Amino acid sequence: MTGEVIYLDYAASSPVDPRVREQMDRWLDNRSGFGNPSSTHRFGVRAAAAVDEAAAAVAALVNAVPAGVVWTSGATESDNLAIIGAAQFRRMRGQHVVSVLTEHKAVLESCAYLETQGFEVTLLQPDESGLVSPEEVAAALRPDTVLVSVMHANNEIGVVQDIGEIGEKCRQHDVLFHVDAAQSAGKLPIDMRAQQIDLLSLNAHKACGPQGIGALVLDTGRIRRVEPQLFGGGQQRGVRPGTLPVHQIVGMGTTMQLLAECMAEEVPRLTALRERLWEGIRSLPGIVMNGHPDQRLCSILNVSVDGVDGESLRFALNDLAVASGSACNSSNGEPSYVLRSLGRTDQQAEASIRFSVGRFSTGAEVDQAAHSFGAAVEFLQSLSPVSVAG
Amino acid sequence: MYNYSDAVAEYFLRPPLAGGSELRGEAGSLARGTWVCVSADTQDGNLHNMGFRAFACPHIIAACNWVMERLEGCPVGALCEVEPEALQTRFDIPVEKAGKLLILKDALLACYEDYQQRAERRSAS
Repeated sequence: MTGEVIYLDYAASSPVDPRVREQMDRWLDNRSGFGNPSSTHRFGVRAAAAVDEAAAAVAALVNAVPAGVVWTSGATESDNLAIIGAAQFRRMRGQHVVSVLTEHKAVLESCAYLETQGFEVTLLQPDESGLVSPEEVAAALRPDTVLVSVMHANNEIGVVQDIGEIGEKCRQHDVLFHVDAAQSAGKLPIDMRAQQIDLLSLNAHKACGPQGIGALVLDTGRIRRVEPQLFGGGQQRGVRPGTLPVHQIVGMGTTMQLLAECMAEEVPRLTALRERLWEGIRSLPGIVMNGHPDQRLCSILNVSVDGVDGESLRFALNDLAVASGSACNSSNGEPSYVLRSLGRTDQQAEASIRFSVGRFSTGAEVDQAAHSFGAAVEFLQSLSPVSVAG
Repeated sequence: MYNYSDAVAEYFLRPPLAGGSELRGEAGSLARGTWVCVSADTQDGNLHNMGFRAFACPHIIAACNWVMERLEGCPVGALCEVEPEALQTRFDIPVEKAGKLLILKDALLACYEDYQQRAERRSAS
């Protein structure tokens, strides 16, 4: 129970890549660069150029135009701005929004806020593998629907939705389509034009970039702006005012550039690590993988275990930094609403662990994690009065 | 979620105690989130081979291990004398988990009841 803790929680946050830090450092060192990008003097112009370069990197990763990049504090703010801002912007057309029960709370609570403002929200129930079909989305559309929000890859179970097909359905009905790509950027191809995505939420810190920075990318051909949720200053065309944090933006730009450069190599490597981990634990009694077995992100493995108490399982795994169901849910102790939506029992939802690998994960770490997890499960099952099928 | 005391860490990791087969008492259930089964043998009115199975949080598993260790060799009546409040203090168990300690207490009482019923049957025959 002592020694190094193995970090397998990249879906919560990830270590900053040294190449990213190096670029950020240039904007934290007064000798090499600082300034407000809104200023018209030399310092400001240089800062603005760095911001523009970062926007180009973000846009290039998702096939958008740099002018469509709105900097935010992270994916939660991007989701808030996309959903509330776009729905309010199109309010004259209708007041109906469609999303999915297993979305991130940043989406669900934005939808709940819209309901307090007179909007109607339809939340679709995914199937037991976590998928929602494009046909179900299309069937939920109404003449007064203004926005559909479906996440690309689920943050808890890693299930990947068919956003290309859903985007096509939305476009056929001239409904705006928002995608939360906080988990999928750099792990799955994203092409806002081909996949007909109108608004896309991104962050940096789940992809070996800095915390506290994200982006909402707009397809400016479809929606030129959203209603702002912050006021004062006029930066970013007033859509999201506030002085731009140049060092963080440069960090996110470098992060996105690295994702584009590394994706072809990194995705197969992460997939192999995820499979190696699953192979190491799949024979444990009472273990079940959560989410679709194939249509899922390369980096996330979520499992539930029968017959053991979730809190004891987490306690027994103190040499592993992993998430219980969802990092976001870890703070309230409630069983994961995502896993409950998929039909898992409270016990299974509580005794669920999300492993997420990333750029600096190694095969040795994955092997050790499988060993530790197996030992913890066997120990707790040996203590448990619950009979578990072998 | 919780800051566990060193005592919890120490007693949580004890190897499982299989327990005897003569006496058995259980309380709680999977649905209630805590389930404790106590088992033991007796010899000359004293408890031996104390053991348990538990579907429970670390606090309760640690408390179970501690109680089993303390009851080993005690008169059977000691099953009724375990005080949940003392366990709560010893293991720094949060107040919201006090009810789970009552499940351990109920399992011990059920074990004692099992002893009494066996004794009555023996004397009746």
